Amino acid sequence: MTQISQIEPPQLTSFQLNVTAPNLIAMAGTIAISDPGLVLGGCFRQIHEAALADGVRELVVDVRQLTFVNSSAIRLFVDWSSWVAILGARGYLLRFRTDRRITWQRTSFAVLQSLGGKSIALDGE
Amino acid sequence: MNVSKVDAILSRVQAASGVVPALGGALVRVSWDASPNLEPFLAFVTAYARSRFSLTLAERVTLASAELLDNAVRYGSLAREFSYELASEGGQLSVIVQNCTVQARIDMLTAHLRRLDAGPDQVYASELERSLAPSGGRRSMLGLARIRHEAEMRIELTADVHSVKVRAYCSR
Repeated sequence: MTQISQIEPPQLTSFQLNVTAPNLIAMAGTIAISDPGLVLGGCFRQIHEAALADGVRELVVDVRQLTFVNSSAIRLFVDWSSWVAILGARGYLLRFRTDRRITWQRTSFAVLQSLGGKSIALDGE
Repeated sequence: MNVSKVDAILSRVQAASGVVPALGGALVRVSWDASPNLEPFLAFVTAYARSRFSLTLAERVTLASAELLDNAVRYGSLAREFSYELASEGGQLSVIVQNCTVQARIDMLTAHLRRLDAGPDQVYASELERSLAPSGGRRSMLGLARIRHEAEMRIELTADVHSVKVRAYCSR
């Protein structure tokens, strides 16, 4: 059994996270709580560490159904991008699947990609 | 979402947080004397905006409302007095948040808005990069940068000795 398949998604009313082994994470809803790091930061870190333990070469994070996040939540994606950027070739490719019609995704992930270099890939539909 | 559903949500939000039905140019006007629970209120604002404006405009209103209120709650003074207004007047749509604060905070906001006006794109990118720093103290600046760059709304600030009013606005 893979580490990633054992991730337990957080229980939030307006946000859903689904894990599909071996390497797909799908997020939906909105993140507007004041301090999302408390609820979601640990989960993102667990996913990152599980991906490393499973030795995946690429992790796909599908945010197309995540329609709104506040700036505190954007910071969680910035953190995640920095984790893989620091690892470089020893890590995995973090591929965000985005919807370019959703403004926050179009603007934020373009900057994240520039910060994360070759460790970050974007699929925008 | 249809208007009756929005009205039903409004009733629940009124009961929970004291929303006052708005008059004049204001579409929604709310005040709190304690730290508000933002999540249900923002759900209401989102539903309300979607029922009355285009999807793009509703998205901009949601973003400005979320970031301005989050800043007010996070960085307002202990007096904990907040007000929120969504207003439509003279072809402009405005999100206005007022809270008590200290002069140093007002000075910092004024300087940041000057930077934002000079180059919203660059400030947005640099604030996102800065948010990598361990201290989260600059998150409010990322919020304002998002309003200016992402929502493409202008921001103005008026202040007196003890309170600050931040208005994000755009054409309808």
